[in-house]
Amino acid sequence: MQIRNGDELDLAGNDGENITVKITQAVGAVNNFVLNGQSWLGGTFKLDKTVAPVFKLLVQTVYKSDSGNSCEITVTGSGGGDTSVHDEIQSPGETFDAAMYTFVILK
Amino acid sequence: MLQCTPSSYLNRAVAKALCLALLVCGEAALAFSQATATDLTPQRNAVVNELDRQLAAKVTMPPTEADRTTIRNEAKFLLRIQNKPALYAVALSAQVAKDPVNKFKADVDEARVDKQVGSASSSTGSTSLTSKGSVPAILGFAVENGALETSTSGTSITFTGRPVQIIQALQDIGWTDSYKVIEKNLGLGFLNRFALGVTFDTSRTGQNSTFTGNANQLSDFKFHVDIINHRDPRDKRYDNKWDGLRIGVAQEMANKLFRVTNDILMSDAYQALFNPWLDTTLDNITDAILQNGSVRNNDALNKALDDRLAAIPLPANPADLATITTFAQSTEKMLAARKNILDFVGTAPIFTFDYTLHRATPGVAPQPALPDTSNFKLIFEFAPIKGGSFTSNGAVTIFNSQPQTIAANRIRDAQFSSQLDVPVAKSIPKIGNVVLSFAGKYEFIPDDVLTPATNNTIFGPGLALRGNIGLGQAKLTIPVKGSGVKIPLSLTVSNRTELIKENDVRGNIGITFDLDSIIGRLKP
Repeated sequence: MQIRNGDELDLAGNDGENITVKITQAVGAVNNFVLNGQSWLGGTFKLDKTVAPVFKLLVQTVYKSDSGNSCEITVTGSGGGDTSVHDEIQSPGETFDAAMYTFVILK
Repeated sequence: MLQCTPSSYLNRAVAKALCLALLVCGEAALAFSQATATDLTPQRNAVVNELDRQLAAKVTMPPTEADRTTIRNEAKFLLRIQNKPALYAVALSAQVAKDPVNKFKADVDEARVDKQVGSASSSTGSTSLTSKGSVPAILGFAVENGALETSTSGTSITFTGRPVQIIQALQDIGWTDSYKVIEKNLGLGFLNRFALGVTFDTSRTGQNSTFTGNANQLSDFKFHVDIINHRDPRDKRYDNKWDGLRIGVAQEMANKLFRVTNDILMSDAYQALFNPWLDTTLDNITDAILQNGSVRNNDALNKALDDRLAAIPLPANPADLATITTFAQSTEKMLAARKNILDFVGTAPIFTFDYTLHRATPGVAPQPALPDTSNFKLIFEFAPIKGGSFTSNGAVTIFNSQPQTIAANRIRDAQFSSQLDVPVAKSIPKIGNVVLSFAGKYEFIPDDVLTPATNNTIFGPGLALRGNIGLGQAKLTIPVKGSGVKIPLSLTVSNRTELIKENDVRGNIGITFDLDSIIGRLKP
């Protein structure tokens, strides 16, 4: 898996590569995933050109209290390469946040 | 009130003014609470905070014109759609579906009515009759002006905090990491039940009540322990409720957010509208930062962001507007469910123990020195009504040594008090959760006892007369939203004071700071 343009949310991987998504740290936060428009429980999925040329994953974060919460999302590929680490750090009063990952399938 | 002194007239005037203020503010609060509005402020603040963190590593503040490109590029990277889908979805909702979004006024920590930052009621200058069960996690700082139980007026400054988290803050461990470390470490979790506090009575200097922080002004040491306190929504006991929210309404909202992001924000058609908007936004942000020399506390930057978010282009396709409205409605459902959990957490009972060592004011010859006192207090709190709380205190105060001159009992007094806090408004823009409180206190003084004299400039013992004292209080606490500052206005009536067996009416106004909010912002 590769990080494109220095953007940890803009990723690329080979067809058939397994992508693992983990919440590696969380304080006062719960997360949900939506993969290609469908609810997803998290874990690992396979990049498949026959499904879509670009996979899209939305990670939602809901904060449990008014301030001081955060979570860290780590994405890795079975083929090695880059590790994507994205942090969501709550601003006081912020109730939820989200990040949209894209996975371009290279070959 | 039969004391015919200028100060007594002042007290009457202040009391009347506060009566009026209580009525006016209460009415205003109720009126505001029914308003609904989309509030983008937390999302805007998140952008500011994140930009501040990013620029801190790349630009020396205040920035110069040479930093323009760096600032603009950092802002552009931050504001990419993939990084801020929630921001843009809410901004679109604010235009398309303002009422359904009804952004929650989530200042939950500020909305808690169980934290007492100010000094306990026996301290000079307190505006509180009843002590609360919680103390701020990091450091509380309170300045309150006025007096309740004694006739002495003055200013007390109270510092309270949990040593574990104070040490972590000094070690540059951020608020978030602090909670994480404590949650994982049982020993630290136990130690974090304890809190310490000190109160400085600035009137003890005898000159202008200036706070110097020296030993002469140190009036109270306080030790606090949480016997039962489960009012942190991150407590593991609430995991089931959060899981229910996550797999239910939050997942539904996430699905809708995906559609707004993928179908609208990332579409070629919308990108044609969005990119010119973003260019102007980046120019305005960069100008505001360069002109004011900062990112945080930059009103021009806040205004630039607010103005641009209010002008975010709408998609042309009517079906897209329906998608945004659906997202707004699902957001409202999720936030309502989240609020229900927080309301439930707010009903958890609290049971604590406080010990306060009160240092007596030094004697001035020929008057004898006053003995120090120890106060032992149990505090119980629960929530009989939604969002409110009922607190009861039982306390005994003893002299640490036998008082001189007056053959007093070692027991100075016994007290019982209760307070009902009722949130009258939670959604006032730029204010937050206004709380109306009613309190009553009974104090029994078994024997005539020594107490500080009424004159601020001459220290020496007066005489508190044996008997029964009853006090009643109405208080309106007005927060300044997002600042950690609260302004309590109170009106107190009593059958007598400790010194004088005549009824008394007093009005007090104060200001308190909860540094949890402030430090949480500075060190996320």
